[in-house]
Amino acid sequence: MFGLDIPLPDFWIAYFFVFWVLIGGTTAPVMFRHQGHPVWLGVLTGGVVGVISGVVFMVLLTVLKPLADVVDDPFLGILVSILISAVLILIALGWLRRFVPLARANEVVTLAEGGPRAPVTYSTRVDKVDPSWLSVQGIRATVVVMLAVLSLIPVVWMGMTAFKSRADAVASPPKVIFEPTMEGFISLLTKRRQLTDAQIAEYKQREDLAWYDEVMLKRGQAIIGQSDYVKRLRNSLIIASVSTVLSVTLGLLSAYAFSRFRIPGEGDLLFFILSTRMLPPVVVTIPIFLMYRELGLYDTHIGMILLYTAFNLSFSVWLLKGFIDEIPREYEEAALVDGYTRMQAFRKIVLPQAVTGIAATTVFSFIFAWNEYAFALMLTSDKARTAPPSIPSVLGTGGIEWAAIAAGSLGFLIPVVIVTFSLRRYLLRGVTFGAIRQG
Amino acid sequence: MSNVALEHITKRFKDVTALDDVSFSITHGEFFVLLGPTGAGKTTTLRVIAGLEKQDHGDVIFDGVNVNKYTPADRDVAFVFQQYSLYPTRTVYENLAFPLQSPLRKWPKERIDQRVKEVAEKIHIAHLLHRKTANLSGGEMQRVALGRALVRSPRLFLMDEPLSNLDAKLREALRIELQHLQKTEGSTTLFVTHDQIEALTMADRIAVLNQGRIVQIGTPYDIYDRPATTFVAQLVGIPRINLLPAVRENGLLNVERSTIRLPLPTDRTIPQRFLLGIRPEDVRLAPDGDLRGEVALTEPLGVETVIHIRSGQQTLLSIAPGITDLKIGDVIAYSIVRERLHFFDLDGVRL
Ligand SMILES: Nc1ncnc2c1ncn2[C@@H]1O[C@H](COP(=O)(O)OP(=O)(O)OP(=O)(O)O)[C@@H](O)[C@H]1O
Ligand SMILES: [Mg+2]
Repeated sequence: MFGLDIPLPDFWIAYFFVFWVLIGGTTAPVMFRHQGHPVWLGVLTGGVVGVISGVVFMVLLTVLKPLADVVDDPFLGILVSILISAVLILIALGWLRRFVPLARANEVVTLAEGGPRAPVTYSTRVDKVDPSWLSVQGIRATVVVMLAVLSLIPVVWMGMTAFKSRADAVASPPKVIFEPTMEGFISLLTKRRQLTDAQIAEYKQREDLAWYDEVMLKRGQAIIGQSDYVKRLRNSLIIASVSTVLSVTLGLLSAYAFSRFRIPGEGDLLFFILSTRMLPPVVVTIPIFLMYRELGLYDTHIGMILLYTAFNLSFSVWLLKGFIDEIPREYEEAALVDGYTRMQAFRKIVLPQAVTGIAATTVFSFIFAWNEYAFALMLTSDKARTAPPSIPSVLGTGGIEWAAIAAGSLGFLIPVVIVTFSLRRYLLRGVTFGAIRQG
Repeated sequence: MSNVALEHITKRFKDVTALDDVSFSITHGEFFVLLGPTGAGKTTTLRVIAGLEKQDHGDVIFDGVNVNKYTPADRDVAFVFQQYSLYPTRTVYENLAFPLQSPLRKWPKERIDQRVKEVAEKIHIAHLLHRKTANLSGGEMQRVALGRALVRSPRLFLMDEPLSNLDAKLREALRIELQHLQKTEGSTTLFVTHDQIEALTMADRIAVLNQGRIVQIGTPYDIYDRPATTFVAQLVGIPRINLLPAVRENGLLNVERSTIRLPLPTDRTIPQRFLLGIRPEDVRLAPDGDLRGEVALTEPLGVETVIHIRSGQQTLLSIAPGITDLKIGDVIAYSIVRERLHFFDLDGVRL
């Protein structure tokens, strides 16, 4: 593509182009603003500079092609040439700063009272910070965004596949542009029957067909009921959230006790708690399976909740103990003296301080319980079966339904994203460090 | 009437003995100061009284009732912590109101509000009431910590070096305020400090603690003028007391390696070898003094000047009012006030 002799696939060429445009677009406005020009001029110039940088980058890659022969490894060669080119362009961009003229006095738009020209590396006022530092921030942000884009590609691809028709899903070369359809979701959520030609003709005459019936009719199938996936997802949700709440609550209480009271053999007990986590699930499933069968816990919600709670507990005790250790005892002691019971002091003083830890533990526990596969596969069959082991069963007969699998995975992803996102505020640590001074 | 009494309290932490057979009692309305160097066990004493730490032996008695088994909440004491621990994420107002909101007290909202504002006025933090505690200055935090104790009317105030993080000026102002509050409200206070000036100026009575043991209990006058040991003698008084090895010789008191000779006291028996304590203010420069020495150093402090007088191989500290024009090497005459000498045996116990 692009008629250039570049040893890179098209995707990467496009990727790097976007990268350079972003770099130019974030760094140039800083320089322009610093010299007193309006920001839009910087963005515009930055865009152009970015495109030029992209082109230069490709040219450099072409020029550096013989490098692959020198290091005797085509992959390493391209990697090194990318690095060299990137550094060269960044240096050139840094140089560019000198050529941005100072705006004439009557043209100065944004510069308030002229910020310091000498480097200042940190300030809350944007116009006081040295442009080179701000530019570096821009470059860092760009790199992070581009890396995030890269790691999001599989997820995006999954999302796209979920909306593809059966044929598009397996098309080669893969289709980036396709006609979206709900086929995947419908086949995930329904049970269907294959129709003969005569039946299809008969079905087409009917007036009472809903839109999803029509979609499936195109594939020659009739919907005959709901699939189990919804039920599985519901099971997953119940089991994961109840076990998370339980393990965080119990973990919080025991972590508090471990942190605050003198417990004989504390170290041994903590180690013992951790040791329950040392065996891989696969190893213990068989004994647990036998136990559960005897106890009537096989394929029950309670059984799975108990198991996940027990499994997460060790983790939550350890994690929370670390957080609670960091809350100075003086806070509770002050509350005790002020006329509160231990439990009230815990609720009113410790709990609000431990939200960060609680949030982190909740997210991790939930993710574990939600993703768990081995136990769920062995210890459930139908009533309490969770989503992870049921997705492969969608693979079904008569060809792999990639769209359905992608749709299932997408639905499976959403709750974790919701939980993590809603707690992300608390995951940022050190926000509310307290009013205690070492005397 | 005895309000609070400790009886033979012993407390060990693994291999450290923090408190060793500590006994004292505080009467109603008294300002009792616990004075001691760092690590003496002052904080531990307060924590035992508050019920935050369980003693190994001994009893804590409140008004004749043994409270060993009481929870901190039931003991009804207010504690100002050394590391003043304001509740973070709460405002100053909420911090002050927190002790009053305890289910133990069941105060109505209006009464709490009124009390909080009253105390805030008293210690000059009314303008801070709606600030979050996390971004107060050290001195402001300390006031709020004090305020959180003062909103209540507990049986006993426990204050663990509440003035230690303040600058000299603020410390003095708060010291006076605290004293005033304590006297007008007649509250019983156990105040911990390692600052002897704080102890001497504020206390009705002082207990001196060293390495977990009570060394002396008495009024500031007792502590300063009749120190029970050399430890106490050196702990109080600035500049430090002169402590010199001395021997009895030919019916005279002879300071070793110096030319100082003094008559022996007649009212007590003095061993052959002993330690002589002389407060700097009792070493008086006087033209007609019977002792001679050489000026080794002068430290002008403004109000007074500390003069180091060399006599033989010993150096004696003395205080002269105002600024003097003495120079190093000058020979001066001085006298020592004989009635105010302190005698200790070689183990440091007062004779
Ligand atoms: N929780 C504890 N565990 C172990 N040792 C302790 C503990 N608390 C106090 N100690 C020890 O007991 C002794 C007395 O401590 P304490 O805190 O009472 O001293 P302090 O007089 O308050 O000193 P400071 O003036 O420095 O506050 C010290 O040696 C200290 O190390
Ligand atoms: Mg202390």
